[in-house]
Formats: sequence, structure tokens, C-alpha cells
Amino acid sequence: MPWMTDLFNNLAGFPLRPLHQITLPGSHDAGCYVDHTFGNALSRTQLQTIGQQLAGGIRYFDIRPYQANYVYGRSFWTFHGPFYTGGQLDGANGILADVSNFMNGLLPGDRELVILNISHFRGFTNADHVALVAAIQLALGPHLAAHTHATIDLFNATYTAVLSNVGGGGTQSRVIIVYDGALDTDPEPWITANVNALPAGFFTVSPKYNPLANPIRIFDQYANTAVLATLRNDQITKLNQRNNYPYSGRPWAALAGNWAANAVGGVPGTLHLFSWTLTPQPYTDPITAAASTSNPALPNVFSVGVRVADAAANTHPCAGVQAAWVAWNYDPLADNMINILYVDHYASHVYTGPGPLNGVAMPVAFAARLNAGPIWPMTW
Amino acid sequence: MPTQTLTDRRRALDELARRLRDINTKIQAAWTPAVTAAAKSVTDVWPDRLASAATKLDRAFAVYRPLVEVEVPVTDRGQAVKAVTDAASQLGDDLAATSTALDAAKDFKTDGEKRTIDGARNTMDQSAVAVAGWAADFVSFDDSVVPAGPPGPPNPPDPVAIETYAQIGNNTPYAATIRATIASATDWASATNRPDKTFGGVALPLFGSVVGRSDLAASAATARVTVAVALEYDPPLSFSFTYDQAAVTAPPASFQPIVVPAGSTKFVILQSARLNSAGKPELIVYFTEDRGA
Repeated sequence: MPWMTDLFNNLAGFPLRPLHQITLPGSHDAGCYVDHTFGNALSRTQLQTIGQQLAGGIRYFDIRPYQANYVYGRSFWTFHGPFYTGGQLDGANGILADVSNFMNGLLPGDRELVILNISHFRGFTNADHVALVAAIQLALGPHLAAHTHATIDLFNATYTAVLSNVGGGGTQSRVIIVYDGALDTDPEPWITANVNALPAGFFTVSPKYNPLANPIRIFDQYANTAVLATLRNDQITKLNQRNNYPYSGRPWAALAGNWAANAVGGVPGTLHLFSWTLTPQPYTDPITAAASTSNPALPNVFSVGVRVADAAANTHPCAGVQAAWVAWNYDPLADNMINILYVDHYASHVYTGPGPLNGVAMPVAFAARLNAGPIWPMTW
Repeated sequence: MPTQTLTDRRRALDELARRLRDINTKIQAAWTPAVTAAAKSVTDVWPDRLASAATKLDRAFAVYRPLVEVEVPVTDRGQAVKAVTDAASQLGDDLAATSTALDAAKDFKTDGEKRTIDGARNTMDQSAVAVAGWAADFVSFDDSVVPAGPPGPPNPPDPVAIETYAQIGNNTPYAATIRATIASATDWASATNRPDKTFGGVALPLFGSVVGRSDLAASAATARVTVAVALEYDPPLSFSFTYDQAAVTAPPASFQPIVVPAGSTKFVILQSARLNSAGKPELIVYFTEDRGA
């Protein structure tokens, strides 16, 4: 599913767009796909491995690691909440190997970009960070972006530049590691100490960390609700009035102030994550909530309504949709930028319709399409 | 069901012998050249020890068999039964130790070698479970052998049994070994289908679980079982917890914490219950790491 390559080759101007003007499909707690007898409730968010998610078109991954204290060496695993352990990060069958296998399977002419946002480190020591960075380099070395945080302004550089080799020549599919892209946790001392010495391909976010140059930011504030209407209102409000929200509620951000306002076409240096996830009530699980409630509503946010018209100036509201939903549908040409469409159980629903994205998971199809224009009309 | 006829007994003994052969064949097949290359420190020692333990079990079973494979079974066979169960227990312990040694041998190995070692280790773990199951079935068989001849004084009635099951699960990314002890033998209707036998030194792989039959005495108000858990953790970590098999008759709606484990504040125990696929009550007890909110 090399949809980014399709855009790179076929959508005028796409190779020269900066990342802050590109929309990607994202997977919330992407490593939490393992089915356990105990612990799935409240924590399991995906059904597919990272390799399957990559093949299905997901390009932004929320990865939350903790280090298991094996007697015989370190081992890194994903986690969500106090009890749930997801897929293993390292090892022959781990998530990093999945990513490496996917990248190895791409064609030389492909131009895909994968972002791993690794955050919420649980119980990491400095030595654990050193070991995890080394494990990532070992697994993904040739695929990591060739530039360091200091040598490229990641979210403002063109897509071509991000994929380029050192010196700017040639491009290839790449992996970017955002090493701690979460603002709802405290800074990791090791990252703070090494913020200007992270290896090539590794980037970190401001204002949590303060690199000497090229600050990047990712707005990611979830709705913390199990109610769909509340989710919709929360995320659209944050999309339109982001400047009313502080960077973080953590003490370290007390003086950081609020986010800069979002804008049509995006804001330099910043990605806006549209967190389309429900936080379930006890004894239900994110998979069920996504499949039954949030994901089926995606078309009602992105493709129906009365604001976006087809070529004949006709609108196409769906029957049975609530009036409030019909009144507003997202138009990337008129609304503030969504850079990451972020969901649980991303493959619960597929897009069916004309064009090359027929049969693709709906969040992937929608995110890909938003790079070309509104979801409606469906002229991919 | 008592095994009353010689034909019945012979058939049951043949089946036990076949299962023992299968276990031994599987263990021997695990020692491939690739495993030897990847874990020489283990293969230099443990295959021979396992073969020795397996041979002792074979011989003990061979000594036992003629005592019951006759028209009138020998009644005084306690020593022969003990020899078999002791040998099975030794083989199970050796398999667990081999598994541990294989795991230790993974250090500084390539991913391919680790996979090879893990394959052998899985065989050891599965064989340990198979040996425990075999021993339990052997004892059940022996219990079923009723001496022929004129009726003597009636035996005291067995406690009425409630057939239940317990599942102990390891919800961590650490391999574990569990060993259960019971508070009182009178809580149970069987000397074999009870946790100290079925969970007596069982290797639990990461995220693995084991199910054991637990025949409750109908008269038991409680049936407390204490499980000692040893985790492959750095530093090595062990803890114990206690569950009540009698709780299986009043299942909680969902997993609920039952105790604070002794020896650790890092792990919690949660319990639930259900009817298994055969419609029998099954208590499900999981230990899991508590990483905090």
C-alpha cells in the first residue's frame, strides 16, 4: 500500500511539500495489538501487528516502551496502562524487525515515510535509553532518515529533503524516530542531556526539550471521553482554537504558554494530531469502541455535510446523519490543518468507492485523500 | 471408573507406555545439531541427565506393570507406585532445569541461535507438562485398580468430588516456574487431581498459562492453595500468593484482585471464573506486573 509513493509521483507539488502540510494516518498505541486472556480491556487498541499496519498504509505510530528486566539482558516491550503488555520492540520477531522488513520490501523507486513516535518510557534508566537507541539503529540503520535534528528542520523541510541522503542528493523511503514526542509526561533526563547529540534519524519535540535549532512540535491532546458527540466537539474545538490550550499540564510546561493557533495549510514546525479515539468506560475496550462508534463516524466528519460541494455545486449529506454533523464536514482547503488522523483499530472499516484507495482502511484512505483535497467528491 | 478386567488394565497400561515413549522421543528429538552448536554448555550435560531420568522412569514403570497386569492385581504396590511417581517427578524437575539452562545459554547469541534455543526450550517445557500429566494419570489408573476376590470390609467412602479446574496464567513478559502447595488434603477429593500435584513445579512461558484439574471435596468450605512463583527477572524475583479454589463456585463478574503477593509489591494477582468448554467450573488466576497508572 505505497500510497505516499503514489502521491509523490502523481500529485503535483507533493515532493516539495513540508511535513506540516502533509496528512498521515496514525495508529494510537500501535504496539498494543497482542490478544491476552487478561488485560485487553481498556488497553488493547489494535488488532494488527506493526508489519500489517504498515502494509495497510499506517505511517505514524504511537509506540510506548518499557524495559523488561530479564535476568539475561534487556528486552523492550510496548505497554498501555498498568497491566497490558503489547508487542515486543526488539528481537527477531519484534516491532523494529517488522518495520525493517517492511522497509526492505519496498521497491527502490518507492518514496514512503514512516514516523515512529516513541514516548511514555516506563521506568527507563539512562542505560535503557542507550540500549533502545542502539537497538533501533541496529534494526533500522539504513532506513533511518539521514539527517540529524540539527541538520534538518524536519517539519519545514520538503518531503524530498526529508527522504534525501546526507548532502541532499538522492532520495529513498525513510523512517523517522521521534524520540519522546509526548507532552503529557515529564522530560527524560537522558534525552535532555543528549538533546543535541541524538543520532541521525532521531528527533525530539519542543518545548519539552530545547534543541539548539529546528524545534518541532506535535499537538496531541485526546478528548478523554467515551461519548462520540463529546469527542467530535472536543477535537474540532482543538482544531479550530488550539491557541486556547497549553502545551502541557505538566509542571515543566508552566511557563511554556499555549499552542500557536492552527491554520489552513498548517503551521511551520508543528504537526496537528486529530485524536479520533474514545476512552472507554470500565469493562469495555478500545477495539469495541472504535469498531462500533468512532470509526463508523469518520465519514460523517470528513465526507458528508453541506460545506463541501461537488463540481456541480451540489452537496451530499447522508440520510440519517445528525443535523449537527451535517452542518460541518472537514474541508482541508478551508479548515485548519490535520496532519495526523489518529485512530484505534484502524482497519475496522474500509473505504469502498472509486479510485485507487478502494478497499483500503478508511482512516488510511481518508488521510491519503486529504493531501489532494476534500474527501467529497471522491475523485481520488 | 475402576479398571476391573485384565483387558481393561492392559489397554490402559499400553496407553501409558505409549505416552511415555512419545515424551521420550520428543525430548531426544530436541537435541539437533543446531541446538548443540548454539548451546553446547547445555547439550554437554543435560541430554544425558534427561536420558538417565527417563530410563529410571521407564524401569520403575516396568517394575510396576506386572503387579497389575495379572488376573488378581497385587494389593501391596505402594512402593512401586512411589518409585514411578518419584521418577516422574525427577524427570519433570530435570526438564525444568534444562529449560532454565537453555535460557541462560541465549546470552550473547545471535537471533537465529536464540530462536533455535527457544525451540528446544519449548520442547522441554511442553515435556515437563506432559510428564506431570502422565504421572497424574498413572496415579489415577492405580487408584482405579480394584483387587478381585471375596469382598472384604468396605472401604471408607471417598469424599464426594466436585470436578473443577484451575488455570494459572503468567501475564508478564518473563518466564516463570510455579509450585503449588495446599492448605489441607481434606479440602480435596483426589490425591492427584489437586493443585500440589498438577502445579508442582510447572514452567510457565511468558504470557503462558497452565490448566489443572482440581477435584474439590464437596464438604470443603474453602480450598486454599499457595503458589510460589519464581520469575526470570533481574534481579531474580520470587513471590507467592494464595487463592481459594472454592471461589470457583461463586465467580466474580470480571478479573478482581485477590491478594497482595508476598515478597513483591510489583506484581498483582487477579482472579475470575467461568465454565470451561466442557461446562465445568474453572477458576482463572493470573499474576501480572503492576507498572502503575
